[in-house]
Amino acid sequence: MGDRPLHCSIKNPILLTVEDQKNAFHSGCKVIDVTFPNVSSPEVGEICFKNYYTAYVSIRVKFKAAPENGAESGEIKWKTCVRRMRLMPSPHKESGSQDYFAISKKQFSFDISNISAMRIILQQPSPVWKEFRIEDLRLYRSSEMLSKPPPLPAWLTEDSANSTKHKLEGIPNLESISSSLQELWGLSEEMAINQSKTEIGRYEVDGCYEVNLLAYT
Amino acid sequence: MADKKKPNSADDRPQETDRQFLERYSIGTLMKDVLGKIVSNRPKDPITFLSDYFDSLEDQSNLVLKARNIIEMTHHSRPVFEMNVRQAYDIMLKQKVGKRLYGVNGTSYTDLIKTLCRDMPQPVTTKLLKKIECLDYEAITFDVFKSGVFTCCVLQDYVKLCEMLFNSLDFQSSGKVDKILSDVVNEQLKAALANTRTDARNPYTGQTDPFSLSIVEAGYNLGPDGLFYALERGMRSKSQLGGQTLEQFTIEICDAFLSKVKRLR
Repeated sequence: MGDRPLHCSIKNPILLTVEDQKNAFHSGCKVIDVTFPNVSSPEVGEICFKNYYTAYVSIRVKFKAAPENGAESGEIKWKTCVRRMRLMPSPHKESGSQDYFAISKKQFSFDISNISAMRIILQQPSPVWKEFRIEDLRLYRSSEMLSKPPPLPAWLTEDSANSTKHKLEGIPNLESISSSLQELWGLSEEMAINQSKTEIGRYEVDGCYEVNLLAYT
Repeated sequence: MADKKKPNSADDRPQETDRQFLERYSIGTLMKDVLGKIVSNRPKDPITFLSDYFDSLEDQSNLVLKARNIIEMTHHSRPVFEMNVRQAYDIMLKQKVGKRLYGVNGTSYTDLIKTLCRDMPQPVTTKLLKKIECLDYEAITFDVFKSGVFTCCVLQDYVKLCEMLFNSLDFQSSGKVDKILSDVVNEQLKAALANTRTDARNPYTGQTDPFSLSIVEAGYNLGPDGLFYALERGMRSKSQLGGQTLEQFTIEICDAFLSKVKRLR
């Protein structure tokens, strides 16, 4: 899942404003620029972050200029990969405000590969919150071999609904066997804990006493 | 006339010698000792305790037996047990080891262990001794002594519990237990004991995660649910491996216990 982090340079969020002498207002929109200076062919499989009072997030991606379109390199547009994903069900209320999110490939409109830059646009239309941002932003490569998570231990998965109807043929008292076993377990543990740690001070090396192997330590 | 005189003199003597008679045999101190022991040990059956105590007074010469009797006065879970072990150690310190040398050496320690384990099957005792026995000339410190004695006392309880388990597994009261069942039960117990480690809790970092998870798993394996599934799997195999007697069963179950006994170094 998250075992292949993508190295990228994440810039500080910039608040977008509308410069107007009369009406200066808080636009409620911030942009985070992400570039990939050292990576040759960046492809993003997953984007993880912790929310801090951001209501919507959009992700726009700029592709690398294709070598054929030498003349049209200036025309590269930003393409929207994730459009206005809702992080908080109600922007005025608390829910979802400090949740952890992971945007996976399934939520992308197209596969993000071979890009030159990415912009993460945060929006918070509610005037209630003084400050909004996302924290701990991390990008991961897509993993082709989606390894299954380790199987859950038996004691979590086995159905205990059938447990009350335990009736094995020929074993009438499972409970008493079980409690005796648990007492035996308890006794062994008690004994093991109280074992002495002091040494008698034998000079044996690996179980045998050999004069030539004796040492000062 | 002569007859009248004799009863008179006989009356005088009993009055004087009542107290002297008791003091001659130090019955007073003996009674004080017994009452003190009853109060501190609080046995379930005081009358039997009293009779065993007076029986054991005859074994005054054998220090090992004396020590053993003191150790067996109370259950190992009570705090008085440790005091009794200390007292037993002090008694055994009087053992003569060499010229003008007194103390607890390997021989007397091994003798004490053997007599504490007298009710257990011989193979169990042999295996236990392999782990904790000491050579004849080695000096036994109190720590080692206490740990060995404690292990023996817990093992006594363990063997009694094995018998109870055998009886509950032996549904037909035939005196034998199906080897399949015994194997399954043994496996579960060994798995549980292998999981939990005793020194897992690091006092500096306080990390206990692997330790506590393994306790949950071990508890599940030994609880009715886990046991049900294990026994079901075992019984499905339908192979006939014959029966096991109580002694064989005890020896196998004690293997799990003995695996936890630390070998002396």
